[in-house]
Order: sequence, then C-alpha cells, then structure tokens
Amino acid sequence: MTHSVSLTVNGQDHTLEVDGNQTLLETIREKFHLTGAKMACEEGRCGACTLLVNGNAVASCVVLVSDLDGATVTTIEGLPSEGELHPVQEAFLGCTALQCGYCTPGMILSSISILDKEPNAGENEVRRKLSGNICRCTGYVKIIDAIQLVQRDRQIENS
Amino acid sequence: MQRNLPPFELVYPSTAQDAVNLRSECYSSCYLAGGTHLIPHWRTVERPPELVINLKRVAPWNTDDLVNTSWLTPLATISDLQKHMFSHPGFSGLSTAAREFGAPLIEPLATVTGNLAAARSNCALAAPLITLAAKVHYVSIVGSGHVSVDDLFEKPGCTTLPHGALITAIEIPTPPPNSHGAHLSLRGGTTSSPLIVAASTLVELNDDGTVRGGRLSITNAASTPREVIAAQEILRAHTRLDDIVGDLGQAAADAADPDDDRWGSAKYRKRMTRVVTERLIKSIASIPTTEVATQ
Repeated sequence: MTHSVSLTVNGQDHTLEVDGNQTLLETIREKFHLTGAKMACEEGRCGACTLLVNGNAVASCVVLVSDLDGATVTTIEGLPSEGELHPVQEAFLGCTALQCGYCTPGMILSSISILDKEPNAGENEVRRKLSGNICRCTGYVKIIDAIQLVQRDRQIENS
Repeated sequence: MQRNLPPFELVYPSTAQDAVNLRSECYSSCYLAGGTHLIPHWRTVERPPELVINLKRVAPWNTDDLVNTSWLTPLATISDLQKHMFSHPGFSGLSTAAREFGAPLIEPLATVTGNLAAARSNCALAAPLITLAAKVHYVSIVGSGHVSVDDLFEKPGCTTLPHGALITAIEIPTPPPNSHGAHLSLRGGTTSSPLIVAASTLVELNDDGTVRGGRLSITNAASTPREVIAAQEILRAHTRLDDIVGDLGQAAADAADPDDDRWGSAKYRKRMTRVVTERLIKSIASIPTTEVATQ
C-alpha cells in the first residue's frame, strides 16, 4: 500500500506516492536525485544524511517519509540563493573546514540549525549540538571556527 | 552498501483503541512512535514485522501539547522534553538526562515512550523517571492499567506490559517540597559516545539541609535500569548528605550487576557506578542549604 505525501523540498511543492518502508533519505536521493545527503551508518549516528525538516536538523535515514506529509525539507542543494552560497557555506570555504567533504553537507545543515536556534551558543554548546555529525578527516577545529565566524559576522550585522 | 528497509505494511490508526485492535489482529506487528530504534533494527533482522502500526496520527497525541509537568504523551520527543522547562528542582535529573541524551540529530524524532519500551540497559531516561516514581499507563486488548517505571523492565528488550499493550501516557508525580533531583552520566568520550553508566537521584531535604528521604537509581549498570533499593533506607537518615556519600556509593555498586562489553569491563563499570553515584550526591550536597530550603 502506498501513501500520498505532500512535501516542500527546497522551496518547491511536490506530491508523491511512497511506500510505507521508504525513508526520507531514500526519497531525497532516489526520487529527487539530490545526492548531497549521504547514506552511511543508516542508524542515525553519523550525521552524513542530515537534512533540515521544518528547520530541525534530523538524521533522514531513520525518518519514514510518509510521516512527513506537509513538511518542509531543505537539502544542501537548496541552500544557495540566486547563485550565492549560503553564509555558512562561505564560512566553511573560508576556514577550510573540510577535507574529503563526505560529512560536509550534513555538517553545514546542522550548523545552520544551530545558528538559527541558538545564535549565541558558546563553543561547548556548539560542540555538543554538532556531536551527531561525525568527521573522520578534520579535528573539528576549523568546523567550529567556521560556525564562530558566522556568529561574529551576524553579531556585527545586528549591531 | 545501502540497506533499504524490508517491505512491511504501514498503517496510521486514528485512535489508541484502533491501534490496539490492529495489533491484536496481526501477530507479526508492532507499534511505531519515533522509530529511531526500530528503523535501524529492521535493517538488521531477517524477518521484520509484517504490519507496522504508526502512532503519529493518533488523536489526541498528534498535537503540540505533548508535555506538561504531570504527563508525557506517547509522541513526546526528547527535544520536547528539552524545551519544556520544569520549574521544580525535583525535575532537574530528568531535564539533565534529556539534555545529555547524546544524539542531537535523533532528539527531535526519538520519543520518551520508545526509549522506555525498547527496555535496553542504557535506557537514558529510565533512571530519573524511576526516582520520580513515574508510572506508565497502557491500554491492551483486555483493558487498561498502569505500572511504575521501576517495574517496567523484565529483561533486555522486554517489558512487563501485557502482550500488545500500547503505552498511552507517562505520569510523573510532582516531587515533594524541598526535594532536589540530579542526574549524572559517564560516557566513553564525547557527549555522543556510548554510555558507561549513569545515576539519578531525588533527595528530600529538611529545612536545615539534612536529608529525610529519596530514591536512587542506576542505568547501564545491570541488564535493565533499576532502583537502588538500599538507598531508600540510607536517605531516611536525617543527617547531612555529605555524611552518607560513601554509603550511597557502596549501595549503588552493590546493586550494580553489569556485563562486560566493548566499552568497559563489568569490574570497571561496577567501580564507575560507585564513582558516578558519589559525584552525583556530592553535587547536591554542594548546593547551599539556604538555596535548597527556599526551593
């Protein structure tokens, strides 16, 4: 039996028929061909599959897409606006906060969620919130630097 | 390699009774609330359930009002618990356990009831709920009932609820006046590393800061979370907490019956049960008496 689901993906509305056992990650990769989110642990532990669902960073490998009727989903492909990279993407580039890049889409989406929900989070809180995203290349230092760079830029803008 | 979920039929009942009826009609069925435990599990088993009964659209649980100071609905997530500011200091242990759940990307998805129903030894929220004397309410094909969280766990992966029972709420009584809760966990590294052992307590204090009662419980120190029964007597001592730190630590270590695993030997985990418990009690003992008395 299939289920009808309405999703807004990267700002565009879609209605699709999905099987009950289909995860959000499979749908995004196989139906929308948006492959920035990666299949890795498939247990919700590594963060490579991170997507923003209604603004929350979630592990999309453990979410059934049929649960998300009416939800708004943002993938890494949906971040650039009018050809401009998102400020967090710019900061990751500026701080060289990536090496192999496998974890980077998830890292960036989690960072956006942290910055939106707790704009003034301290380093310890940022590290705690980012602990669901695993990177095996970097020491996380430059990733934290990138997030703090965005925090400082936003503080300057707001002042 | 991608491991797609095996096929199953997914249904969305609109009432709890419908869910229970569906469960009773199909032996190979199960309830699904958050799914963060079950979905990865189904990828690894030969025969997943034929029928998955998804609770997301059960009224009245499918609203935003999932948490209040006395009740959690079955769809209340760890994030819901984190956002809910329990004002009474007796809830501090539960709030801390929710904050230290250790998996930020599944916290908006994982439910408190799912965490309990999985009945794993490292069930993060069981210890504080035991100290708060929380009860699990359920409905089954033969009627409804409730069981204390302390009596919920039979063995790893198995609860004492009747077959096919559906948890409908978790009732959390308001802690007594002048009581203070705390929770402390020891992990293998970072905040998202595997849990070594955790302890929770709720202590009831007299106005002069001496202790008049309370409870202590431990997680991941035995096959299932459990209360340290001997601690109840120790906590009725009407003495200062500082004076019974060692006794409570020893009682917790005596109650611990851990297994070896890749994160630590049984001997290490038993020793850490004592260490964590003593630090937990000291953390409450260090709160100024005047502050406790006014809470």
